[in-house]
Amino acid sequence: MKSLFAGALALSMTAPAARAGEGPFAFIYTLDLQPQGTWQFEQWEWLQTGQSQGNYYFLTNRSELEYGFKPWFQVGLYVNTEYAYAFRNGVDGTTGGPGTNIDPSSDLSAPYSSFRFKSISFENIVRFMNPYTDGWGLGLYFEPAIGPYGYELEWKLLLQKNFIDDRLVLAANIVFETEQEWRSGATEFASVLDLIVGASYRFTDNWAAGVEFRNHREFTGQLLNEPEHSAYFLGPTIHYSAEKWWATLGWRHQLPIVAAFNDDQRSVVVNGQIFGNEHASDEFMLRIGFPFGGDKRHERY
Amino acid sequence: MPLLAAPAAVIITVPAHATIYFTTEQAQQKMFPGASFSPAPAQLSDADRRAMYDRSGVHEPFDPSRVWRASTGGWFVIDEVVGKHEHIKYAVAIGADGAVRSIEIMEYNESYGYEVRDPSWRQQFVGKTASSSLKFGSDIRNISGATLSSKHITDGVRRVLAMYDLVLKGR
Repeated sequence: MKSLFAGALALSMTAPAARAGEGPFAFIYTLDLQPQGTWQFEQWEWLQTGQSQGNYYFLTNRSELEYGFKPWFQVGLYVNTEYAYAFRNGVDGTTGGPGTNIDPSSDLSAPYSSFRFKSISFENIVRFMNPYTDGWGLGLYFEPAIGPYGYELEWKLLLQKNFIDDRLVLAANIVFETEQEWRSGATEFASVLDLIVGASYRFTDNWAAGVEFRNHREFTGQLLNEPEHSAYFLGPTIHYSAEKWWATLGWRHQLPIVAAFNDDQRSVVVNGQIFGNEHASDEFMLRIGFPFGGDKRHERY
Repeated sequence: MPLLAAPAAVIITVPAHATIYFTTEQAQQKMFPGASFSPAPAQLSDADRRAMYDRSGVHEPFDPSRVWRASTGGWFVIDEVVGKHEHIKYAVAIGADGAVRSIEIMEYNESYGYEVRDPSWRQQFVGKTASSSLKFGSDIRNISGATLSSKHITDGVRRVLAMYDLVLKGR
């Protein structure tokens, strides 16, 4: 069960953070950073739902304030909360799942719901190559997070290539996370390696549509010690953007091709998807952003 | 899934609005004061369009109907390039000698990057011809926070000059 718990820890601490500035993807970071001296408020709601049976909803809320510190350097401060509802959703018919914190001695067939403050996190993004001027985009992301239940360190390598007057955006993030969670006096460790790739095309003014793919690999320990499972997600994204605000809606479905590397992990695989305390069948992301502080629209040039 | 459906409905019902800095007539009078204008649509062959793309890298279709001849000599051309959210509409005044007299941003509707309207940035295009180097980042400076807009306008002006060189020069 320890590996299952570590997996749950990894998922609960894993935040597919909203991308910097404004880009066309729901889950992928691009290198469109906030212009220097400008701000953006961003709210995102990430819903994971559906397990092997019963009812399961896990909503992660992130409120972020971003600031363009330099043309190539952006910072952001997040406040993270989460809500979970579960009822007999486990493979064995018990209540549980990612985001739940149920006492094993309690009634595991009863409905469960909770809302909690999760953490505060501090985002840093440095852009080394600009996709608009250097042909390729290359950047590094670092985000420490800390809360009452643990801490997390997250690194991302950001890659981007644009085509067709920058209407078509191909982007990839290679993500490494290492996490520690404090629970009932015990300390648990986990680490994650994700590859997220996507393509988005701006098919008309204000609107872009795309697809995002994620391969999520989870490990025991803080340094990718023992592999636990490798899960795959795929789904569409639609993005609307205008002068004063933007919104992105994305959906990712867990593909039925998971690879589980130990008995604990295999015990929560159903029809090729992994559930238990690991994942849900579907993920929906809604993000809304409001840039401010750089409006020179009415300056008299 | 009402949680997700409601915001989606909001997205669809929000109307877009354009900020128009110059109408066609206003831009013409600012760029060629006192002149009158006669429509002079460009006759572009497929080969011309390919050459314009080769010389500018701009994929966005060029509308050949938005070309006028100025009574005082020279050409007035309206073009559009892709902005971050919407199209950027701008005008290029080309003198009888084939050099850029001025450019004006006619419509711009982005969150950032309004510095492309700054005269000191637009001034960089003045005097450029189809044979001039018009390289973004060196001949035309990047505007931090408006990189996409300033790059696409630079590419667009290069395309307008290529069009002049291919079909307007000598008319």
